[in-house]
Amino acid sequence: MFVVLDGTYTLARADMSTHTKIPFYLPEGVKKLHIDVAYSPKYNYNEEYGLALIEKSMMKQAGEPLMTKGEMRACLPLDNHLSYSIDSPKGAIGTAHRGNDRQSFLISEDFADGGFYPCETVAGEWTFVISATCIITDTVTVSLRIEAEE
Amino acid sequence: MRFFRCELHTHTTSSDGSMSPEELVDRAVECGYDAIVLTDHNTVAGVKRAISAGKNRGLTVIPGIEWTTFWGHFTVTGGTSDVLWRDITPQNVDAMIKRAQEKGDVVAVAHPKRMGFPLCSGCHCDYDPCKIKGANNYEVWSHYYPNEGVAARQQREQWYSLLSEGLRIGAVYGYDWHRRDDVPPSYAYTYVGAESASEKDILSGLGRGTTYITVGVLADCAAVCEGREYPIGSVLPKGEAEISVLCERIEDYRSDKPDELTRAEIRTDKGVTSAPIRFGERIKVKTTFEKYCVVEIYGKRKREEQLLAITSAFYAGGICDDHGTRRSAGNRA
Ligand SMILES: [Zn+2]
Ligand SMILES: [Zn+2]
Repeated sequence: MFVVLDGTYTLARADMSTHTKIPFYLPEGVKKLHIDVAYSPKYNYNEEYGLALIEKSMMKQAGEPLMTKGEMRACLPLDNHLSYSIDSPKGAIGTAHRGNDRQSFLISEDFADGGFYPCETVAGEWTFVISATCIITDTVTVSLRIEAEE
Repeated sequence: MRFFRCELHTHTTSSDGSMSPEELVDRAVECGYDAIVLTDHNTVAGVKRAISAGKNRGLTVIPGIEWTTFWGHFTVTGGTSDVLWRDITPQNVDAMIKRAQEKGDVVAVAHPKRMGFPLCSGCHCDYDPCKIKGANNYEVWSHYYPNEGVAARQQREQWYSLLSEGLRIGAVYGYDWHRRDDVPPSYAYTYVGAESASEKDILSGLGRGTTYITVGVLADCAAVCEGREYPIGSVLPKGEAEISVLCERIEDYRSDKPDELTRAEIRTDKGVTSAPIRFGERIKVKTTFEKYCVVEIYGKRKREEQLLAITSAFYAGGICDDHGTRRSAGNRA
């Protein structure tokens, strides 16, 4: 087992609704990929900010109240949401879309999890894509570690 | 043709659902569905397992995906198109919808008026309405309490405004099924008219828009025009028809069941005709229209009068093929 990539990446509010592509290279002979990815912070605990943002967004989207103040409060704390995709040299191999701030994936020819497809871990340029679905903190820091098993 | 109980919008552990593909299938069988579509967010990783579980349990599982883009969601049913969700942008979304349809998939706009950022970012449809007009279907109802609340009202209004423009876009419901829900709050079904519950037949029913959505009522509707009977979703030779409606209870509906029916509304671009209706009694209503004709069923549920069912439209005139289908509709040209 050896480390293919071990990095941290910082996204800002302005990166919301964008894809950050992180290339990595696999040599010949890799049988399995172990991926650990986490981000923080998950939550923004500022209630005042949260309520104001919900109210403003609600009026912008619906043009009328969708919720009472109490219902809005029940939606707090607001949270960041990132989703991840992987492209192999042969094409996209799926996406992991869920709320968890800490996830691990296994990718191999006969097994993959978390929303990814089993595929040959061929040599060449791969890409890990971070898609910023929602960022409600000034920054969010992503740590990504990819290990290869021969 | 008969109507099959379908759920067109489901998730598993392959995305943010809490049921495995096998658990989803088991639950769908328990809940009496004839067919479901698996529409995990931006992945088809669970589809193979769901299909094979469906084969074991006698449930049709249709491959699908939910394009979960930053600016809106679409359920894409059929599993044949090659569009990668990350390639979809506000500029090209119309072309991407068309490309998926050309490959044989059926595209529905998902929960367009649900609150998006910062609660469910991407859930609200922020696309230019002009760019999503080519979709086959529209989730007029979504998730829990589908016929109640502001989002439901706004979705129904937007759907009618699309019909008023002359678009041929069907009404569907999306449970957006993420967890087991032993005691579900109010929810709906989409019934799809098809020759059988096979993947191919359900897909073609969805493509034709032979659908209705309902909270607890079976609504057998057809239009008779020039001596011939047409199913929901048909393009009639002209906008003059007798609409026939027969409603029954859905006995195994798990939320509050409707107590009684009050009226059927025949809603067209020319106006609304209301007719009293009761369970088990077929009514026939003459109507004329230029663009569309939709049937809505009202009744009492929890002692309050509510909208209980909405059909997709019958369409007037225009060019149609031998089967009276809406395939050749203007929004698809
Ligand atoms: Zn969605
Ligand atoms: Zn969904």
